[in-house]
Amino acid sequence: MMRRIAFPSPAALRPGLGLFLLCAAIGCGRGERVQLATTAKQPGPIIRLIEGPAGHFEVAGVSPSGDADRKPDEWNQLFAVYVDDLSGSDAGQTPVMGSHQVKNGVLSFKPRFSLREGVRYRAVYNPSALSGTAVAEKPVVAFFSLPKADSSSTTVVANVYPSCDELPENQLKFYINFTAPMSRGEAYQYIRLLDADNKPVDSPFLELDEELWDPQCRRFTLFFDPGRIKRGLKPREEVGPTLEEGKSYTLVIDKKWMDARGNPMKETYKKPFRVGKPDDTQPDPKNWKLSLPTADTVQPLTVAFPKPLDHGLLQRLLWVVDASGNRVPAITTLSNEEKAWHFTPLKGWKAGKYELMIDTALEDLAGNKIDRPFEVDIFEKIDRKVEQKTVKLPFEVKEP
Amino acid sequence: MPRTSRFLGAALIGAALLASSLGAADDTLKKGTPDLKSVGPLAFGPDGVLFVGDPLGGAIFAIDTGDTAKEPATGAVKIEKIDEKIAAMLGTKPGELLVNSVAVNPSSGNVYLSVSRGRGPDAAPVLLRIDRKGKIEEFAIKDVKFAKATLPDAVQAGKQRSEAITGLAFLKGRVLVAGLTNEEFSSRLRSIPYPFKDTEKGSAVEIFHASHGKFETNSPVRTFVPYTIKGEDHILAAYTCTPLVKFPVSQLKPGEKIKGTTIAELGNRNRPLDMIVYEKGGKDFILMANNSRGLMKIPTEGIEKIEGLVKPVKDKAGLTYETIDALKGVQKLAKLDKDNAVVLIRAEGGALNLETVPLP
Repeated sequence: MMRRIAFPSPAALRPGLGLFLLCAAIGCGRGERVQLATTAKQPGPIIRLIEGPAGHFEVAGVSPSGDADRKPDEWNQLFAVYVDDLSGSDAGQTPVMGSHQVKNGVLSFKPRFSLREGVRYRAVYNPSALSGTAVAEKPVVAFFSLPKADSSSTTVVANVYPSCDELPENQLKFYINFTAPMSRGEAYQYIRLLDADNKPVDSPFLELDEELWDPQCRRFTLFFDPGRIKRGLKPREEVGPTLEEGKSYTLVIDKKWMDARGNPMKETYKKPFRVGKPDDTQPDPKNWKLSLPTADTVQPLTVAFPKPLDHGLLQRLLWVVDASGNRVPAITTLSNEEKAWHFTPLKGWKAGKYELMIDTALEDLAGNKIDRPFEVDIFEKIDRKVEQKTVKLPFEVKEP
Repeated sequence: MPRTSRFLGAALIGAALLASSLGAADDTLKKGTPDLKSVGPLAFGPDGVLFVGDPLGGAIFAIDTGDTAKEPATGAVKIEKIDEKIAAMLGTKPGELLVNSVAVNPSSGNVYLSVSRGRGPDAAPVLLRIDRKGKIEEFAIKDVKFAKATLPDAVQAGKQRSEAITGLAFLKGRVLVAGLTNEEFSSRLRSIPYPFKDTEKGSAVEIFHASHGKFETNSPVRTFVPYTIKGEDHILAAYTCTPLVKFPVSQLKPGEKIKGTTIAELGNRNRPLDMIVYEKGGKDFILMANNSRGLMKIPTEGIEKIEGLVKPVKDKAGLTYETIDALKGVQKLAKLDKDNAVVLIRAEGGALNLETVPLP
C-alpha cells in the first residue's frame, strides 16, 4: 500500500507564477553552483542544490512528514531534474536518473552521477502530484548550472614520436603526447596527413573505434593502415602504400580536438617529415654500443642504437639486472631521436657484473621486432631467428 | 552422533554435492560490486550471464544479470535519438557520452548497452538495459553475482601501455577475447575457460596471417564471430589489415602459433566494426557492419573448401559479398533474434538511433 506524504495544503503554498531571474551567484568559483532562475516566490517552496556537483536537490518550504513508497516514475512526477540543454527534443523530457527520499521532513533528489560543468539543469517540483491533491497547482521550476571552472584553451601537443624528420616508407605508427588529458571518441576527425602539395592523403591511418590511448588519455597511438604497409594485400595493390619513398608529408593535429575538460586545444600541431627507404631489417642488439658507467657513481649506462627504435617500447622492454638477477631501480630517458637510451640508477653502481635485458618484442619504427620482422616472406629464408623472449647483453662496472 | 543425524548429515552433503555439480557455473559467481574501471565490449553467455570487457582495468567480468524469461521478448526495438535520451538520463550532454557496445540477452530478449559517461580518463562506466518497448534503465553494477578474469600484462601500474578489447564472444565454455595494444603490433586472442577460476588468466595465442599465402604478419584481430564449419567450431576474424580469415577454435592453445586462412579480401578503406552470423532459407550468411560500405552480406557457402587465397585477385577474392547501401552509418550491430538485427545507426542529420532491421 502506498503511504502518503503529508505536505501542507498545496493551496497554502501559493507557488509564485512569474519567472524571475535570481542570478544568485552563490559563489561562481570552481565547483560551486549558480541558481539561475526559479518560478517560486518566498515563502513558497524553493528548490535548492545542496553541496555542489556531487550533492542533491531538495525542495525547501514544504514539510512532508514520513516517507513514501513510490515508483521512480511516480517520484519523477512529483520532483524531477532534467538536462535543460535538450529542451525542444523529446529527450529533454527524460528525467535525470537518481534517488528520491523524504528525510527529516525534506523532499530530496540525489542524481545518480555528479552534475557536469557547463550543463544547465531544470528542476521541477509539481505539488499537484501529491497524493490527495485536489486542486491543480502550477509547478515550481528552478534552473541550475555549474559554471566551467576554466574554459580557456591551454592544452597542446607536447611532442610526437618518432621525433626524427625522416621516416621509413613502412613507418608503422606515431605516438602523440598531449600536455593534458584529452577526450576520446572523435580522434580521427582531427588528424590529417598532408602530402607535399598540402593535399590530404586518403585514409592513411588505421581507424579503431576503441581508440588507442594510455590510461590517462594523454598519449594517443596512431597506426598507419597496415593493409597498405603489408605487401600482397588488396588495399596496397589498389591505392599503393600510404607513404612513398622520396616524398614529403606533414602530420597535422587540429586544435579543434577537445581536451578532457571539453576545451579545444590552444594551437594546431604540425610535424613535417621526409620518407626514406622501407626498413625490413630486425634490430640486432649485437650492433648496439654500450657506454659504461664507473662504480660508486650514478652515471647513466648509455646504449646507442644504429637506428631509431620505438619510443613507447623502449621505456618498457629494456632493463638492467645485477649479478644476482635483481632488477636495478632506475630512471630511463631517451635522446638522439630515439637512438640512445640512458639508464640512471637510483643508487650508485657497484663494481661487478650486470646484464642489459632486452625483450625481443622491442620494435623499430617499421614494426620489425628483435625476434621477427614485421612481415616474413615465407618463401624466403629468414636470416636470423630468435626463439627466446629476452636477449641479454652482459657488461661490467669497474672501479674508476 | 545418533544414526538419524548421521544419515541426515550424509544426505545434506550429498545434496550439496549434487547442487554444486548441477549449478557449477553459478557457484563461481559471488555477490558483490565488480571493480569495473571501464565498460567495453559485451557478450552474453547462457542463463543471462553477461560478459563485460574492461579495457582500462585489463579484465573480463562475468555478471549474472538475473534477466531471464520463460519466453524471451519479441518485437522490434526502436529508439530515435538514443544518445540524447541516454545523456538526459545520465545528466549530461550527448557529446559527453560514448556508446561502446550493443548486445542482446538471448535469455530475455532485452538489449544491453555499455556506455561511458564522460570522454576523459575519469569517465564513469554504465550498463543500460532496453526492453522491446524502448524503455531504458540502468543495470546497476552493484550487489550482483559476478566473477572476474584478469588479462595478464594488459595493464601495468605506472605504464602508458594499455590494451583495447576489440572483440568478445562466448563459445561453449570459453570466453574469447581479441585485443590490440597501444604499443606493440601483434595479435592477442585469448581463450579463457568459463566458469572462471580464482586465478584465471587468459592465455594469449599468436595468430599469423599470410596475404595470398606469402607475406606473414602477426596482425591484430579487429572483430570476430564464432562459426561452425562442418561440425567444427571456427573463428571468423576480420583483421586490421582487412582480410577475413577462418581458423579452428581447437587451435586456440597457449603458445600455439596459428595460421589463419584468408576466406575473403575486403579491399581498401574497409573498417569492419561488428559481425554476426545468421541463417536464412537454409543458408548461412555473415553480416558485417563496415564504415565505408554500409552492411556487407557474405554467404558462407563453400567456406569449408577455401584453403586460402594464393593469388592476388583483381576485385573480390574468396567469398563474395553484397553491400546493403541503405544501411550506411551503422556503428554497432548485434543479432536481435533469428530474423532481425539491432543496429545503432547514425542517421542523416546526425541523430543516433537504435533500430531493428530484418536480416537481409
